[in-house]
Amino acid sequence: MKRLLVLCVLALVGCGADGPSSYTAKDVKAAYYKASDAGDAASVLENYWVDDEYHSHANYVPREALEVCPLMQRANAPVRVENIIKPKAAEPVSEFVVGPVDETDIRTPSVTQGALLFGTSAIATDGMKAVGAAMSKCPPSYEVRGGPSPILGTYAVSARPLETDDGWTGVLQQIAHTNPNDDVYYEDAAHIVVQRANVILYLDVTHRKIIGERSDAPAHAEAVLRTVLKRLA
Amino acid sequence: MTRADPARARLAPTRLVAAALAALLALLALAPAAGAHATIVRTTPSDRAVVGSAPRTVQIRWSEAVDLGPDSVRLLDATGEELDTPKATHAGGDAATAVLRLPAGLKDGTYVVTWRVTSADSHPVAGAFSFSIGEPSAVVVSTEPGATSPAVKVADGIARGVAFLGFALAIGGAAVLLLLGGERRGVRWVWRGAALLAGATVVLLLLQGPYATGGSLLDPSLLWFSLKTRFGEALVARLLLTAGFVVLVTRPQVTAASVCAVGLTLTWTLADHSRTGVQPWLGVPAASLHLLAMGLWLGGLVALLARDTPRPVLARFSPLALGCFAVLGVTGVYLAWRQSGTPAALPATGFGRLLLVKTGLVLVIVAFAALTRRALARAGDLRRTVLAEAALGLVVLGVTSALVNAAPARVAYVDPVDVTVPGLDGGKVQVRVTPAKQGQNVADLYLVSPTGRLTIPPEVTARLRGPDGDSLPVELGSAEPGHYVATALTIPEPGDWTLRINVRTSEIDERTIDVPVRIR
Repeated sequence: MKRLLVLCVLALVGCGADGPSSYTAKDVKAAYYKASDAGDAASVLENYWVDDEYHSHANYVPREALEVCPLMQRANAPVRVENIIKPKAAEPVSEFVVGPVDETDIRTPSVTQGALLFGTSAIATDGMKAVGAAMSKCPPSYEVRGGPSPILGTYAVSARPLETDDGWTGVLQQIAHTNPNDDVYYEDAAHIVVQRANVILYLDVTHRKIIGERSDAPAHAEAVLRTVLKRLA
Repeated sequence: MTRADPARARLAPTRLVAAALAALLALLALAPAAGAHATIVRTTPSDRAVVGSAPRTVQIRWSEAVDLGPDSVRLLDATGEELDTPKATHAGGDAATAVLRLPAGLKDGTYVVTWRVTSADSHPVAGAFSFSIGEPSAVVVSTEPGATSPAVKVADGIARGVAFLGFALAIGGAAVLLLLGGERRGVRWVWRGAALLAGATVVLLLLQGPYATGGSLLDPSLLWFSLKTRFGEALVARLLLTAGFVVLVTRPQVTAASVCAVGLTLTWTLADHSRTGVQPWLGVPAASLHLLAMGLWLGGLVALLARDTPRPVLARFSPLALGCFAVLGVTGVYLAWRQSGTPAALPATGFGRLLLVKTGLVLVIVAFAALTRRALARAGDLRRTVLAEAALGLVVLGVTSALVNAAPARVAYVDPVDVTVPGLDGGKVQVRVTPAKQGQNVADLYLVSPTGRLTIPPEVTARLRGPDGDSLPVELGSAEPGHYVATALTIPEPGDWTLRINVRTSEIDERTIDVPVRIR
């Protein structure tokens, strides 16, 4: 009887978890989506690590922060909210990009992945709560009138909750950016932030679609996320 | 006929109880977390509303009755600081609506209302919304209310499973003793079952407060809160009825004990999924019969395995077991439909998958039961098949305890409505509503030209018209050019709704397009 109960407790500990209770930077890096995961499209894609020292001047997002409302710091919006959230005690993991080999290829989606690691799951959960709340407050539409030409225009942002069977929860943000200087294309982007255990994982998918074409960045982002989460399971 | 070794036979029930505990632990470990059961239907002010002056109250309406705890509804300012308010109360006796009286003199800015209440099926649900007075504040705070500790969730699940086991042992043991002429010493199974049931019930009572509110196990005020909820009242009644049942069985008073047993089943079915959702008037009696039949069959089987039971007792148990199986089959099919709604929900949800596993196990048990009956008729060896029946029955019990802790498939299953109707100038309008259920939904609206491309008219607005003619505003945003989205569309009740879309095609022309949307 006692042996059986001990086995039960072990089974409870072993089987009860949906996945690892914590992740390391090495785990996350190994799980990143890679060009080889793209199947037939792999030939037009390349992988590279983002230089940890690199910062965009047009849209500065510190390494230990997460973007929650793109370019809101430059926006002309009736309601101003934070463009980034810095979760407490976050340790950034280097970003990894899978993008088109040809720099002029604006139609092939470019995927940027990154993560923030925390000492405990509780701290990560608190961080994700702040991020999720901030993302939900991003206005549905706003305009950027100042800055470099490529970022000008109108941003339509919609957010949906995201939850996977294996316990990852977060938000999927769809972003459509139309530029007054471009009446052919719009920027079709998706931004996913999910958390489980001690990690907040984020990924961006961006490419251009002809106005009138349906967006597929959210579906592409979800497919990439499934690949990454499968490796982290 | 081969006879089992009496020593081994006496050990069998102990092993079975251990196996049951093993099954419970393993299944609860693998069980899906209890999901949201009561869904938010309406808030006043609505989420993200901007009002001109401070409202005197905030109202929240759910899809079913909820229990309000000490801090069920809280008001936070834009910095996240909690403001002093009186305890939220039910609005005019409506148990599905909470009213929070706001303090006087609220300044302009954004306020966040967080709520955490207990559904009618005893599982907690939580959420938050915000509103602004004058104009929104720049500062954003986290709107997530507190969460239940995972340890409390697991302990609660185990206690629920052990309570089922205790109930079965007590009821089944009593049936063998009083109805089938079992040996007098068989009363110990009633005692053991009652002890398990009472112990698990006390644990559930202690855990319910922390489970429902996310508070501390050491907070005595939460016990008081638990006692005042419907679930708490059911647990107290279960304790009293358990004691009464033992007394009545030992006397013995068969009729009174039977009434007591029915009362015991109602302490589950009047406080769980049975009393929520569709057809609660039939759900409660069906679930009660299901539980009673399970207890009689499984508990009886375990009690019969205790020693070398005389063959006449076994022969009398056989028709009782057959009757129990018939009741379990009929009520099981009905309850499966009631909690799942559609066969597609079975493989797609955790609840449905558990139900499929349970069904498979039951079919195997039926096969063993048929072998047992045949052996009984031929005076063959029964012990092996009866043991297999009982062991599998205990595993089924474990699956069931996981099922009652899971969100019903009807609630958890997401089956979006995707409707396409004729649109502008030979084009189409496609509307997709996810999950197409009462409560919070996301609606996607595409305006498609005859060539298949999305068209971008100057303006698109929409309203939702309900089955009873009510009209609700739909806040549409642009997801991409030609794709409009309502990310916080609250639909208060199921039924046939109509999404009325107004498309302005020029400065003076406007087209109205009606899209039917069935909300489950």
